[in-house]
Amino acid sequence: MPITWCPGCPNNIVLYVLKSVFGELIDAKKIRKQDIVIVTDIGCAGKIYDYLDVNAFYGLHGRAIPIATGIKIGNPKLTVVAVAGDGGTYSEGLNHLVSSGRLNPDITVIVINNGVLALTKGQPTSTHPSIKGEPIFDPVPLALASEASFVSRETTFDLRDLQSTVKAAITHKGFSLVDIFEPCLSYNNDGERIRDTERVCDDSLQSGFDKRLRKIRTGVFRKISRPTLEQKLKKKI
Amino acid sequence: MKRSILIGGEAGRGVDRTAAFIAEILSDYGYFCFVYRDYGSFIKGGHNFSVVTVSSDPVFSHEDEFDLMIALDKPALEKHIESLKPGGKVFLNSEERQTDQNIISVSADGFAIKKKVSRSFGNNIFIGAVLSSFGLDWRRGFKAISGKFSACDAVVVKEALRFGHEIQQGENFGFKPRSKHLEISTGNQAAAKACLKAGLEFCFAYPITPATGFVDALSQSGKVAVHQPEDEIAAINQTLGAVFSGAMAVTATSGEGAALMAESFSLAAMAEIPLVLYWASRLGPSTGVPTYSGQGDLKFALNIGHGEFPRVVVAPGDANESYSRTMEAFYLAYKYRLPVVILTDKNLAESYYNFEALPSLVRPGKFLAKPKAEYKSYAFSENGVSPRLVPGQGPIVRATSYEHDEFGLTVEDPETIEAMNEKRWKKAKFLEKEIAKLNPCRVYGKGKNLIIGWGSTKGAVLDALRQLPDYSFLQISYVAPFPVKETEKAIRKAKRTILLENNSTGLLGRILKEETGIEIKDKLLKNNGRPFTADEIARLLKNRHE
Repeated sequence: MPITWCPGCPNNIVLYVLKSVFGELIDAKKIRKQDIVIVTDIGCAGKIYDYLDVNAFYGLHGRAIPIATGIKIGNPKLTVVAVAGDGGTYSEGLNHLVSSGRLNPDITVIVINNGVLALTKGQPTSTHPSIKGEPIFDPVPLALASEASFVSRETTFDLRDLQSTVKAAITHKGFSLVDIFEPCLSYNNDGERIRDTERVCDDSLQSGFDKRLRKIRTGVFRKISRPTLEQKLKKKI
Repeated sequence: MKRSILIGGEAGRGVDRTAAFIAEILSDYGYFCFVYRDYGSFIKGGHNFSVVTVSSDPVFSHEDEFDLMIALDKPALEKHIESLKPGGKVFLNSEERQTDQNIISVSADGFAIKKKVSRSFGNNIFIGAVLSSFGLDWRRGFKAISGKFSACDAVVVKEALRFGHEIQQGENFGFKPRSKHLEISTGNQAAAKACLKAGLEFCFAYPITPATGFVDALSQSGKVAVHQPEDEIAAINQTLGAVFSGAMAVTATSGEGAALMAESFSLAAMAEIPLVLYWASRLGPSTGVPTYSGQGDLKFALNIGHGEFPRVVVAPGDANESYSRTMEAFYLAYKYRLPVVILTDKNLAESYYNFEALPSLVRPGKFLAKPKAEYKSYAFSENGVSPRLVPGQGPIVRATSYEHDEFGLTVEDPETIEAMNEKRWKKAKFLEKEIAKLNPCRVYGKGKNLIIGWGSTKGAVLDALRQLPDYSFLQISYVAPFPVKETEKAIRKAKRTILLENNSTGLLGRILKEETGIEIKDKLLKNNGRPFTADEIARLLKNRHE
């Protein structure tokens, strides 16, 4: 399928990273290609559905997480990765993030966080940096408070970190969130802000921003191991 | 012969359980039973009641007047004493002797206190008294329900039954002994049994009256993994995810939850993922009266989901049909890859009926194809149904809410849009043929005047027909696809037609007009949360047509 993102869109980097990580895991015989399923939201993030040559479910706005959860429960052998935007994860369907963090289905949620609902022509979301001086929503403390077992943030400016975190998230047994900051070249071109980040080096930090230095924090905020939802459901019957 | 027993008392006092035990024991003796449950939104307190109707012939509805009354408290007595039939008897939970000699006071509470057990154990005294009223042995009665008690509790229950048996004296009802054991089941439980038979593996549901009983029955079976997610939207999307991954799953809700599920119902149609939605209506609009019944969701079920797509809506009329139609729902959803609604209501979902799992006309399954290297998730085919594979089998499998080509890849060109719409609608024609073989509607009785209805009103209408020799009953079970020819034929033969529904505007009548052009002008409608009773129907029809 021809790519219909805007020319130069950093979504291409997320696409590249997913292809690379899947390739690495398949080559290392960690997973079989036929067992990979991606679930997408709609909008620009959802377009990735057409560009990856794996099993795929193009879902509804805000509902990638429950669809992915159902797939994992239905067949725990599958490797399930949801790809959605900030609109579909932190606005519509936000409750699914909170519940999944707590219940811990073994799925990975990749959020392409560019601060706008781009395909409807650039309306700001809760993560937009400059809406009338309102504070920016930070999904990191919410995911931590929701007891998600893997919480991380990267940007599309550092390919190596992004790739290693996405790989760690996919191989993590439990609910993983990868919040990926990227600019939207058409409606929120704030690459300057996103590029200037601070790396998280210990797991005591509870905020995704360094408010004093006005910097975005990147890295893995939490990685712990606990029983998954599908394991618990299997035990019940 | 028919006798009715009312059990009334506060919520949390065991009204429902006592009624179910009585019905279970009497059904074990082979008497036909029906239990109507009337309760408000209380956990403790308030006033609830159940009516057990016992008959030597099959019975499917309750009566307004009672031969026996078990009043677990004074308010129950005061509320229902007017409805006691002449010569009827009351068993009252009280220490005070009553002046009215038809009221027998027994302190069930005193018994429970003395035995140091919870108050509801005292209710077994009244069960003993009921058994005595039917001339039945309490020991045999206990056997029918013994599985529900621990050895320790059984001692107390037996003592209560014996005690109750002794306090009821005088003649019994003189029912002829029967020996055929009958089962009892609610509509919810019967549907759950069908799910197990169909091979269900998962249920995703958010609690809501009156669908919760269905989910509970699945959970208690120990054979289905039941997950309660954060909301109804998650429930239906998880169901679709699980089915896409190759499992057999179901979701259940009532009208309010269905409203939240609407967007995903449409997704099931577009992505062609088999979906079975068990939908137990309550009285709307909005929160309405959550523990009471209504048939106000019929048009909503027929139209839920944006866009146009084929669907199945099937409405069982009693517990046996709850079983058989649920089997058919799984068969049709998975064979044709489309959404199916089993539309029931509180009256059917929560009332106890005599139940028999009759052999099904269909064999439900997952209808998975054999994996091939060259696979298209949405391949065109003669009947519009593409062979279904699931992830993990080898070929790439896709599902999508966006319009798509045969591979499931996104398209927007007019030719493919047209072709895909045509492909989905092709199923409708084949569905119609399939449903024609499943008794989509049925006429009961031989009277020249025809009552037309659907769903849970069937019970009261069938019971009313005994008093109405000039009437017959057309029950429409499949509402989508609508059995046009079959209903037309039945209506043409009738001298006079009357629509009977538990709603305000006669929704089935409107659908009937849309589908057949026939307008049923005469309507018997009731929309106060309570079901019709047989006597009520007979009375209203006699008044109307005489």
